[in-house]
Order: sequence, then C-alpha cells, then structure tokens
Amino acid sequence: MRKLKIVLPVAAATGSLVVWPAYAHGFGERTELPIPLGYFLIGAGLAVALSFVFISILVRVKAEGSYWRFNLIGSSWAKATLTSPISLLPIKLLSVFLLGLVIAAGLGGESNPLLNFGPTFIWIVWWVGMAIGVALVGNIWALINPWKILFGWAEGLYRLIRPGRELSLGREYPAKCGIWPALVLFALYTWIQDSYPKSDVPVQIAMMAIIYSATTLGGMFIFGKHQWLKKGEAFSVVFGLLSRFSVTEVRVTDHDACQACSSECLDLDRQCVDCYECFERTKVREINLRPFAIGLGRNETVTTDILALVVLMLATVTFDGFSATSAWTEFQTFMVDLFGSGSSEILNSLVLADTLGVLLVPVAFFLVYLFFSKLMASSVDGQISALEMARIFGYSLIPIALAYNIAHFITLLVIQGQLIIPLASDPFGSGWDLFGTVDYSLNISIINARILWFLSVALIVLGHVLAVYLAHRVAIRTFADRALVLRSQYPMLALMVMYTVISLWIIAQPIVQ
Amino acid sequence: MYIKKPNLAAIFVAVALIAIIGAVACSSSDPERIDVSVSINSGVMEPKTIKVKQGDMVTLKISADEGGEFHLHTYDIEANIPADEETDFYFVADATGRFKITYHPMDENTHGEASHGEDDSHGGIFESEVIPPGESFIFEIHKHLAGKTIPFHSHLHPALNGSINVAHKSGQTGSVAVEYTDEGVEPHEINASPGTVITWTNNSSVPQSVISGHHADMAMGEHKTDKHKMGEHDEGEEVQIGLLEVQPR
Repeated sequence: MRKLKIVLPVAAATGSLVVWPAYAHGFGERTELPIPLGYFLIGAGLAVALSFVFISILVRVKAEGSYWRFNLIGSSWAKATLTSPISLLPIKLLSVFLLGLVIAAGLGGESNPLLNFGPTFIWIVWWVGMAIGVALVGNIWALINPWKILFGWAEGLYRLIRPGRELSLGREYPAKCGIWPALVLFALYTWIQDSYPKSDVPVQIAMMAIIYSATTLGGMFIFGKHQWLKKGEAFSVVFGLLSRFSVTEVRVTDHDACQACSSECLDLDRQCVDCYECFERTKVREINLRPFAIGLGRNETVTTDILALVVLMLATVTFDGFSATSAWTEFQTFMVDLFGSGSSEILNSLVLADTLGVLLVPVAFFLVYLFFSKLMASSVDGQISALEMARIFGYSLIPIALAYNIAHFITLLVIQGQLIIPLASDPFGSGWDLFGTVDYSLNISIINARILWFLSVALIVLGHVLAVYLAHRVAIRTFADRALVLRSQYPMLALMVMYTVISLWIIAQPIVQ
Repeated sequence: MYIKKPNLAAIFVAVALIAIIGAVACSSSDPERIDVSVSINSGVMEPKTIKVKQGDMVTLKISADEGGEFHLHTYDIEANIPADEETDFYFVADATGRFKITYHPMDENTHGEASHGEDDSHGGIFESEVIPPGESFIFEIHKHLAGKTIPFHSHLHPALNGSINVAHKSGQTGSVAVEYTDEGVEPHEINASPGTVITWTNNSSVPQSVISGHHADMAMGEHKTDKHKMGEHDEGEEVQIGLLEVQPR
C-alpha cells in the first residue's frame, strides 16, 4: 500500500484526479478481484499444453479457403425483415437520436459524470459494449453508425433537389494514405481514454462528439461516403476489424458490383466479404452465419497500415489493463519523483506517464512482434521477409486480445453499465423520470467472482486456441512444405503463449484504485 | 510423432476437468456475523483493507478522530461518523469484489444543516436499527408532516423503497402494515393521515432497515438532492482511505 500513500497526495494536488487516481479507462469504477494464482497457473498451463496438442493435430489439416455458411436472408420474408429500409428505420433514428442526446446532455445537462447520460453511454455502453457486441455478433456498427446514416439522408435529399448530381465532392482518395487517417484518429481516441484526465466530463465528451462528427461528415463530403468510412472513420475501421471475429458476414456474389467499388474489395480467393459499399449497391447479396474467428483467416493481402492498426489495437487493450496494475503505479510514481507532480490538471506527471504508455506500449509491442516475425522468417530460410511475416500473421493474434478484452471489461459492462437504466430516465440529471427507472439501484452481485474467474480463464485459453488455429491456417496456405509450416509456427507459438500468459497475469493483478 | 485423435480428446477433457474441479471444489462455509473495528485517524484507515467473505453479515465499528461521511462505494452505503464516538456500519457482503472506501471529513455544523434541513434528506425523519428477518420497525406520523411526501428505503438493500403520502387533514388514524420481502416492498406507496402508525415487517431472508429519504446516488458520489455539495470545493475532499475486499465463498 506504499504506492497508494505516494500517489494519493499527488492526485490530491492535481485536483479532479482525486476521484479516480491512477485509474485509466475513460470512466467507471472497477471492482473485480484479481484471479487467484491457481486459476492463472491452470490457464497458462492449458495454453501451453493445448498449443502442442493442436499443432500435432493441425499439421494433418488441409488448407481450405471455404468454410461453413448459412445465408440468413435466403428466404424472402427474412430478406424483407432484415434488409428493408422500413424495418431498419427505427434503429437508425434511435442511433442518430442517441448521438444528439450525448451532445445535448453534455452541453446542457448535469456536470457530475454519474448523473449525466454521456459518460456512461459513451465509455461503457457504446465503447465497451459495442466492441464486444461487434466482435461476437457482427458488424452492427455498419448499420447504426450515426454519421453514415446522417450523410446518407443528406445525400438522398440532395438527389431529390438536384437529380443526377452527388452531394459529395468525390475527390480521389490518395491510395498511399491507406487507413492511416483512421489509425491516427483511433490513436487520439485511445489517448483520451487512457490518459486524458477529463475524459469523463460530460461537456468534454460533447465537444469531442461534435469535433468528431464534423471531421467524419467533412471526410465523407470530400472523399465520398464509402471512401471515408473505409479509410478515415476510425470506428468503422476498428469495429470492422473486430467484426472479422464474429459469427456473421455480409457477402456479395455479384462481381459486377465489385467492379464499380471504390476500393479493391475482392480478396485473393476472389471473394467480396464485408464490403458495405458493394452490399449497398447490389441485390445479389447474402448475410451469412459463419464459424467464429474464421473471418480473420481469409486469404488476403494485409498492408502495413492495417498491420499497424492491429498492433495498436492489441497494445491498447493490453495497456488499458496494465495501467491499472501496481506495476504501472510504480512507474507513475517514478515519473512524479522525476518531474514533480506538476500544477496543471492536464500537463502533469501522471498524464505524462500515461501518455508515454499510450505511445510506447504499441511501439514495444510492434518491436517484439517484429522480432518473432524475424525468427519465423529465418526458420523458413528467408523465403519471406520479417515484415511480410508480421503482416500475414497479424490478424491471428486478435482472438487473444479479444478474449482478454472481454475478461477485462465484463464486470465494468454488467455492473457499471447498469447505470444507463436510471440515466435513460433522466439523461440530463435534471430530475426527470421518463421511464420510471430513475430509482433503479445497481444489482452489484449480478456476477460472482468465482464464475468470473472461471469465465475469464476459459475465454483467454479459448482465444489462444483460436489464434493458434488461425496462424496455422495461414502457414499452411503460405508454405507448400509441411516441414516449413511446422518450423514457422514455433516462434509464433512462443509469442502467443507469451501474450496469453501476460494477459492472464494482468487479470491476476489487483486493480489499483 | 503422430498421436491418435481420441487420445487427444481424452487428454483435453481430462485437463479441462481438472481445471473445473480446481475452480469449483474449494471448500465452502456458511456466512458469518462478523464485527470489524475500524479506526480513522488523520485520514488513515486501519486496517487498510477490510477482508470478508461473500454473504457475511458485517458490522464495521468505526471510530474517527474527525467527523465525516464514510462511503462504501458500489455497495453505495454512506454513514455520518461523529468524532470520537464508535458508530456501527452494517451491511451484508452479498457482492464479491474490491470496493473503494472513501471518507469525506465534514464540519459537523454545516453537515447538520445539509442533513436535517429537508424532509427528504437521508434519515431526516426516521431511521431504524438493523431489522433482522421476522422483526419490525414502528413509526408514528407526526402532525407537522401533514401534506408531505416522505420517501423511505432499506439502507442495506436500497432496491427496497417506497414513499408515504401524508394527507393534509387528520382523518382516519390507524395502522398501516408494510412488508419487506425478497421481491420488494408491499405496498410501495402508502397513503396515510397524520397520527397513523406504520409498521414495517421484515419478511425477507436478510436483515433490512428503514430510513427516510432517498437512497444516496447510484454508484458513488453524493445525494441527488444535495447538488450544491458537488461544488469543486467539496469534491476534492473525498479521499480514498481503504478497500473492502469480498472474496467468494
């Protein structure tokens, strides 16, 4: 508890930090118990054992591009319900309304984060909930993205007024920029979440929503709706990446539609999957159920910008947990000793330490990954460069991060997330009771620690197994020779075991409060 | 080194079973009543972390050198602790986890105003001791409460709450029975005249209490009705002094 004694006076000196000192994620109070040593050891042991079991089974598995699918809009009535504009309209209206509500509540509502709709909705329900939902169920963000909806409405209106003309300027998006704009915006968002001390202040959230809305609508106006959604809208890109893990996909089987697509949507197997531009354009389309994680193992070219985003996402998820451990508090204390506490609420040593974390953890993550890619490259006698190795295997690390992410956030989501029930009745904190739920008190025993521990370890081990499987699929596709497949996988396996054990270690650490 | 698949499946099942048994087979015991002495001196709580097991009926016996508000976060129970006087702080540790404990030292004079000035303030009108299952609490509505609405709740389980609408004129007096069950409060809303005697009976399976006023805010922070307290000045004074750790049984 020595750390606490040091950090608390520092936090006290920096004003508003007192409420949540040394705690990283944007908003909310964490209450989970660290998993006991036994669970940690069982999880780590299982990860190692299953890796070797799998590798000896998988080496006999054939590389196959296709996988099991079931078309949800195969029948006409299902098609009518799931894709008709009328059935989707209420959802779209609600989404746009919620964006407006966050802004309005932030600007005109109560300034206490707990009594305002914005912080709980944005940081817990939307960010944590949507990330998990998208990763498991499918890319609902593509349907409910309020900026996409707003711009779509504006486009429709413009076409009515001036038939034959487009609202967007339709400027050619510079190909060399790739998804870097989305990556930069996401990095900024990550910094706000993990370092910015006022990330829970309703009015700040409203301002950020306004600025981001302007950026996104502007981007769509200049480059066209789909271009910007694919390259510059951070959440479309990030949720799109996460939804590759999910059990649903959209698929376009009419390749004429893909000819007109603004991006190279066909993968190396000539499939058009999860391209919402083509999906909007054609009627020859499917919404498929598919096995979990398979969307991360498709045969496609992974460019460096996408790899960078994958690494940033993996690092961010890990850092969000790591920054709540006492090891990180030691580092913060070290920074405070080095530079003094600083007087400003934003420019102080705690923020500096967290900013360094947000910047350096992804870099360190990338270097470690590159080192293991180098090992893989040399194990296959340099047939493929280290960077290329890093690119083709990048997606296969996602299941571990995702499993850890769920283990890390599930308590916050199911306990603090309940705050949205009373807040829905009184979003501005002005004494309303719209749905009669304002007196709802949180059910804090909804999830028992023992069940949570078991679930967390099971999820992380399962994520690990899926990661090993995905990497193996990629290896079989890439190397003709079985011996090369095996040799390339040993460094990858070592990296994955390490990553899994670190993830387990973090949830075995008591959260510093 | 090719291994047959059935063997692998067997190994996998065996390992998984060991994991499950390891996770579930920990010895369990019955919840206990426990008293913990807690001292708060110059903003330092002793012990720093209060460790109990799920289901325990805990009484913290708190003594502080400076009066203030003791707040157990997420459980969201608050109590005013007078200086130099041992105060009981009762709760049932039904949720597992690690919970923040904060202390907000307060000048007792200003605190008195905030606490007793309004009718719906916390404990401003009546406040029971802990009511064990099967027992009751009785309160008679005074004349000066005519025309008022008095919210009440169980401080130990704030989901159990309701309100009393007191009529303006004294009419039929008598008695009203209110029942606490595991599902809720029956009746939820009580219409009564001044002079009526209200009896709360705890027919739930856990200890309860009755206190007038609204329950304190949802997860942490202050009373809704006391928004003026959320000024920057006060907010900075609530300082974390320790943790409650509730391990699963």
